[in-house]
Amino acid sequence: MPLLKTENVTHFFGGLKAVSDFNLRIEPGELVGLIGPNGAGKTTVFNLVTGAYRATEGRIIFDDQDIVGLPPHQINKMGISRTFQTIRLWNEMTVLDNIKVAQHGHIQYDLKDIFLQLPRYRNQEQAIEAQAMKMLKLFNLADHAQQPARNLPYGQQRRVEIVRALAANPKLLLLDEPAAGMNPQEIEELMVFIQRIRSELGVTIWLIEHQMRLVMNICERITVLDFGETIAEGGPDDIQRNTKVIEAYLGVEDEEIS
Amino acid sequence: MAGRSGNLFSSIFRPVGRIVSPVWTALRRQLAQTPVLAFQLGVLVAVLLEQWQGEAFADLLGFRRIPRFFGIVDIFEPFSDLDFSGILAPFFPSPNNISASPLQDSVQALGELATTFVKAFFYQGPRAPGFFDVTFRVLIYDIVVFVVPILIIAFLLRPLVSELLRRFPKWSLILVHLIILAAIVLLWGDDGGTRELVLIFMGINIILTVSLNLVNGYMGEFSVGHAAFMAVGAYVSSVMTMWAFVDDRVFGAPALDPSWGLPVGFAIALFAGGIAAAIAALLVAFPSFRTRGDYLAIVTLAVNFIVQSAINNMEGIGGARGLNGVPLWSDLSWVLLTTILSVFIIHSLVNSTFGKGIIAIREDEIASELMGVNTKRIKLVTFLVSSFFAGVAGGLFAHVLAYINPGNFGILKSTEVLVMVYLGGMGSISGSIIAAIIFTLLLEALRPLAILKWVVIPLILIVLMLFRPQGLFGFREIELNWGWQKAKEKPEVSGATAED
Repeated sequence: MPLLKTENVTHFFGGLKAVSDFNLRIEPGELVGLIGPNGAGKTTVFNLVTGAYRATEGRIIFDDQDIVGLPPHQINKMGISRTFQTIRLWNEMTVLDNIKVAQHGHIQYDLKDIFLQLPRYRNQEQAIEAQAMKMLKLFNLADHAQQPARNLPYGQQRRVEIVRALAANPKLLLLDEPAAGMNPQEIEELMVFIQRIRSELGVTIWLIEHQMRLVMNICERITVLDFGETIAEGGPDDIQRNTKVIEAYLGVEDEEIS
Repeated sequence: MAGRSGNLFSSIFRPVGRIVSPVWTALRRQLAQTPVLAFQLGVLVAVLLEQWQGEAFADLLGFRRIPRFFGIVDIFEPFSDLDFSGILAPFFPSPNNISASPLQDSVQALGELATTFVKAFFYQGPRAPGFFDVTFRVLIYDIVVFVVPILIIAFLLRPLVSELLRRFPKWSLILVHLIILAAIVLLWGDDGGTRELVLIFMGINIILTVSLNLVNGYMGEFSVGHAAFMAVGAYVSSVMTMWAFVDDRVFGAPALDPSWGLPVGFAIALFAGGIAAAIAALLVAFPSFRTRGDYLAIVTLAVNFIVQSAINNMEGIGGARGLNGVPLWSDLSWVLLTTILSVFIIHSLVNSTFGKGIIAIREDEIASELMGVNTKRIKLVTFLVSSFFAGVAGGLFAHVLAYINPGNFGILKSTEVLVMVYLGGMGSISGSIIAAIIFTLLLEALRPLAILKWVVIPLILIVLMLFRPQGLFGFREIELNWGWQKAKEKPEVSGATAED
């Protein structure tokens, strides 16, 4: 049974068809890539899956449930978590609080428990805090726990964002250009980091990336989008040889991509 | 210590700073090491000292009575004779008093005003000392009666208090802090007169400010109609207490046994007032929380006017004439208790993970929703909690004035609360409390200036916004040395390596 299945997902922005007939199956434990030139509709696909946009047509099945039309926070609670193309941490909050608030979907206590400081509230707060610290330690960010997120260097902020996405204990993690703005050294670290997430937490990962080195090295399966259409799907080697993909990326023969 | 800009300024203050600053640093270190409880005991002793010998000492310094509010009212007294009316009046004469040469009269009035102003600083006459004279004596009084005893007691008791703080569990210590706070407030303030009234308004203002800060500061929305919810709470609770427990002209004989009125009846009425305000907020929230920003400001502004004119037209509860005969039940202990409870509840809310979702919404609403925060629900809950406490504050407000009318809850009142929120700083409970205290005291202290008060207060605000746009404590809390271990807030961060 696939973890995520999209069936003919189509999305319009007004008259513009941003995504058309997008079909994909992701099995539990896979590491899948989504690539394509700028404006191909990759982030739109992520926004559709996470509920930020509501798909105009088609079905998105996650864990045997159609999630089209569910509010984003509920989709997050069901187990799809994501990062953003540009960092969207809660800047004024500490790193620890960022990770704690990301567990919002799992809070069981209600206002009465807070106001009366009942054991149910205090126990859960302790559990949330312990879980957050565990995550930070696991990814070597514990030293920065008490710093406001905006004070961290760019690469660290990217990592905090990934840890924040993991804090919700997702089954599927969507990474939107995790390597954007990173130098080769940082990309190397990021690749190790992503593989560690999969091996240590067993999370299925689906990522958008422009850095071909990263995509071709770690993804087992890659989908290529161009102008909203899926033009190719397959393993890294197939994609690299696919003529349609080369055309979409290179256009003319002599041009070069990084 | 040196001035940040200007050579003259720094050349004067740097040498002074060199002498003062080591002393000041040492004192600050001592102060920081002393737990709050020790200071509380010091204040308690100082308050008792004032009651015992304050009058005699004030007499010795030449005051006719104990300086009001640590003297801040007295130091502005010399300016009470300033008369601005003479400057513009000659140009707009009344029919029976036409001036021959308005300009000359005006200039003369201006001259007189200037003379009065200068005289106010120095000397006005044998029974009316000048500003400098009064300030000097007020300082002596405050230092001898308050500063020195507080410091001595605090430093003397420090070892003992620190030992106690280590021995006892945290909840019992919080209780001790609260009891001593109550003792101080009641001993100092329960005079049945100005002090009590000012402290009551201070408490009400604290509730209003902290609750509005929840929406405007923590959540980053902009609500400008807090007085509307205050009005709902005030009217609902007043109608309840008057109908049930008081023999009045509006509702006739009491419907229930008046002996139930305090404390049960009043507590229920206050709570009901809060609930009614929250219901009113629910009606506002549904249409206005669909979008962000200015929209809520416009809606809440409108709601303020709607509520006001609705009450104006309800003849059953007095209409525009107002509601007279509300029982005078808001005494100092009620206000103190309600204030402490309100602050505690809002404090626990914003410090819970649930409540930190409110801050996350301010930081990035879309990201919050995508990261699992139910933004719609949290915004609604926050707005309701905020309005609930505005309603409770309104209930207290009505039961201290005994007479309320719709004019009490206009846009001016809302603005006053907004001013306190931005004075204290957004997203800071301690800032809000300090701002409410300062603002209430300022209103009282500047009373001698009469109409000029409304020139001075906006000026103070403008200066504050120029030099501290984030408010006194924007997005920060005052860190106090409570003396107990912060078990929860400082998780150990050892054993982690720096990099991958």
